[in-house]
Amino acid sequence: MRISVKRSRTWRFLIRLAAFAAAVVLAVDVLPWPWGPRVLPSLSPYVTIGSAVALRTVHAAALVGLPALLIVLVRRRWFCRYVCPVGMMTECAGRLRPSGKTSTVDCWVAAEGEASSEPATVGPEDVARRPRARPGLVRRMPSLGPWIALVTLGGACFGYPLLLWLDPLAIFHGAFSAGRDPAGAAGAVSAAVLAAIVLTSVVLPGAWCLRICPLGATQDLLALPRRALTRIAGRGGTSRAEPTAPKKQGLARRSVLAAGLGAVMLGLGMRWGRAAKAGARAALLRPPGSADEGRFAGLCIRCGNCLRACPSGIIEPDSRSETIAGLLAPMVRFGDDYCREDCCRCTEVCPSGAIAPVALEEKRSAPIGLAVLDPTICVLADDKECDKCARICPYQAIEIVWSEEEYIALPKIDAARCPGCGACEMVCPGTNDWEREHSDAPVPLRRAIEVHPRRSSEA
Amino acid sequence: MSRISRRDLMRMLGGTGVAAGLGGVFSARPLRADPASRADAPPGTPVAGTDHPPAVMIDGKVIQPERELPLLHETDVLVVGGGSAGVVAALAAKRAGARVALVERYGHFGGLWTGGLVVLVIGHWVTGNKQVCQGIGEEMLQRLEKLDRGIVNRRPGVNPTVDAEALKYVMVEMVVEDQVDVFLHCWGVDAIMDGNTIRGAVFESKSGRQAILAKQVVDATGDGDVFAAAGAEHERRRYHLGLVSRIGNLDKVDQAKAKKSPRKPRHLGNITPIAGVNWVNMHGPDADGLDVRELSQLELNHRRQIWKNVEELRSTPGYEDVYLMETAPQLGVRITRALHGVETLTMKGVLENQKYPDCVAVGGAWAGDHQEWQIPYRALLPRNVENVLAAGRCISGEPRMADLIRVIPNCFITGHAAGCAAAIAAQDGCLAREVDVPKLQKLLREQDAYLG
Repeated sequence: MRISVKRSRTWRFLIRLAAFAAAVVLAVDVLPWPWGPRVLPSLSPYVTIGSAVALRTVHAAALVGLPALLIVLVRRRWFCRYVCPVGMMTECAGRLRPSGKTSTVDCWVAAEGEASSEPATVGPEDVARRPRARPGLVRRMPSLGPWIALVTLGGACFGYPLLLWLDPLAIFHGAFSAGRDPAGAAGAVSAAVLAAIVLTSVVLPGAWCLRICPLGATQDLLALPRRALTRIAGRGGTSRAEPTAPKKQGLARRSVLAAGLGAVMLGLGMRWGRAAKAGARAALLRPPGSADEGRFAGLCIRCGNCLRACPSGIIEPDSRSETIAGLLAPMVRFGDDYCREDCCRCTEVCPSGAIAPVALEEKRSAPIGLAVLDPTICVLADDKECDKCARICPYQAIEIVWSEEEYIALPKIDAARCPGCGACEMVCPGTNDWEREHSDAPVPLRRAIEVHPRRSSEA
Repeated sequence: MSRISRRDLMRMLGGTGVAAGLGGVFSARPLRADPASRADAPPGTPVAGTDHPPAVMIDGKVIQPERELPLLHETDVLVVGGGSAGVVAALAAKRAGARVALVERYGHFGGLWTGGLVVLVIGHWVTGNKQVCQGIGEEMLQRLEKLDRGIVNRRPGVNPTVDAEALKYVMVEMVVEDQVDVFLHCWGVDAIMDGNTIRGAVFESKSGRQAILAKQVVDATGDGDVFAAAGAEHERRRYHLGLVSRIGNLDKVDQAKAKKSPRKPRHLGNITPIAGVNWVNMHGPDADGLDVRELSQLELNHRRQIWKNVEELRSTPGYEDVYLMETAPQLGVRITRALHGVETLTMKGVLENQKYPDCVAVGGAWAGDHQEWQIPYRALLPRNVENVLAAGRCISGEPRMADLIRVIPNCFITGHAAGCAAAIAAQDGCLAREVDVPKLQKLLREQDAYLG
């Protein structure tokens, strides 16, 4: 028995190591497959469920996570034990602790391994079984994971999966964007969160995995039906299951509370979202195929894939968001480039469904925004010769039209054709220089033709 | 009315039956001398009747009787149109050793560059601040530089602005120095054909309708009037058509007052070499520059609007003293006819850096922001007519190329190429189509043209 446990531990460690290596390869994105960057975050059942519920549809990306989801239904915390790269890191971090030879994760995983077919409860009793760990703190720590998972699920029911971005795989994946422009800022935040998780695991082994991680908690929740079934079947109705009984009740009560809280927070989130829209700051542009603004920030797990995938480098993390919810969500800003008509990379790599896949020929029906003209600063209104916007427009959506009333020619934008690719904004030479020079207060630079978000009636 | 006219006609014809064939009847009549050929007649000599049979009404139609045209001149190379393309073509052909006649419909040279007040030289820079349009056009710019107030903004990578009067003077100086035969106030109205080979052109002037015979003809009319009359394949285009003006006293603008103005001054234009004077462009509506009714209506509309625009500017605080100095004598016709040449310039070719073995000119970018592009000799050559070459804005190019082709530097480089080619063809006694291209390229390079 002991030998088999030891051997199974070795095997498990080897599998985890392989999974970790695979995760690193996927996160570094060295594979030639276009959908490569999507795989790792998609594996998370937490993301898969949250996204599917919020979008009311099973996303193609979700299929990658489906096997993991199914296994988790029968083997609780299977994902943590065999696949999760963050779990691997926390485990190693736990070993770094001077006083401890075994980590929290390893300990409860070992306990579970001994329990063989019957998945054990992750609870204080597991921690207590470890002599050298500091059980007190972690035991006393409230179990946040199920709350996070349920609040997110509750929000997802209303279309806004509130804390989806706390998914460990997304954090791990996003950390690999650090230092890579333009995703660098978001990547740095992910890397910092990852570092915090690892450091916490040194001081408080298991705090993240057992008490906070929503992915782990999701697995616990998913295993509930099976555990109930086993109990009904009369198997495992031993003393070991006893302590779980009050816990289950707690969870049931908790789930109702959490769903309610999720709904409340969703309402708040939506309100913040609207406030952002109405705010003084120019409304945000999102990548093509993005979910509507009300739930985009929630669906996005900040994995950094779209930022890294964009060959034009026009997608950047929103670091000046007016709402906490929108912080670091990808936004489009046209500087020296535009959304190329021959590219839809960002839509191919999104693992959470925040950006739905858009085929090249569909780009017009998934607009980023709409080019809008400020006729007062267009150089044509200054009698100059210019047709840069009309000339560059890859969709032939701009025409220079003479106005007999104004006695000037101006670009006219065909809203049905314009996907808001920003090519016109990139080349437009008309700026509000006069206004800037003649104003005492600082006036932000504007171009005569700029892409604005479409109102829902225009989209 | 037509009845009376017909009676007059009968009297004129001396009762001869019209049905007998008008052509034969008219040509049988002795031609009287053209007024120009009667220059020796002392002033005050009474003139009775007309020197040529006037147009007549026949069956309600206006008929121009057939007649022989007096010969005004005979030359090797005839350049029709004295704009930026035509003047350079004439100078190039003359410097290549040909006898050259330069014919211009107005009393000055420069066409739209001067008479149209399109004083901005745009399109001779490419990426890296390299100037691609060189040769005789560049010589003009250099001569302007030597003049006080001749040219402004003349520095690498910047599109300079010339003074129209200085440029008219420079062109006159160059044409006189090179002893080009000049005919001003002459409208080229027809081609003289021998089969599908052009032999010269017909002009209308105060001297009446006269002919100039030539071995080679360069069509630098901008509108392609000559190749169109010769029957060359071409297409007509509508493009925006405005009227440029100049405003003065901008140096008297009260800057302190203007600074406080809540209104942005409009129709302010851009600087010229003369202090306080700006030139103001106008986009204008899309119109047919070959339709005299449209041209007339646009002149009326544009002139009223320019006055209104200046009034609007004058009502802007600080700009009260600004005044309308001049409206351009010539309407800003941008594109009318485009030749269907042996080769056609395309935007794809420009973007893909297409090379031509018969490259005779290299065009630039409006803002110096893209690469140079080659112009092949075949883009100046009509497909079905011999010995006439297009120069200037009417060379062969797809509609998208209009803006790159129509600018001043492009006119002077294609004029340069056409002038040299016509001189070689005239001297070698060959068709323009058969010109030895390496020889042409060598000659162009000798005349400081840039061919890449």
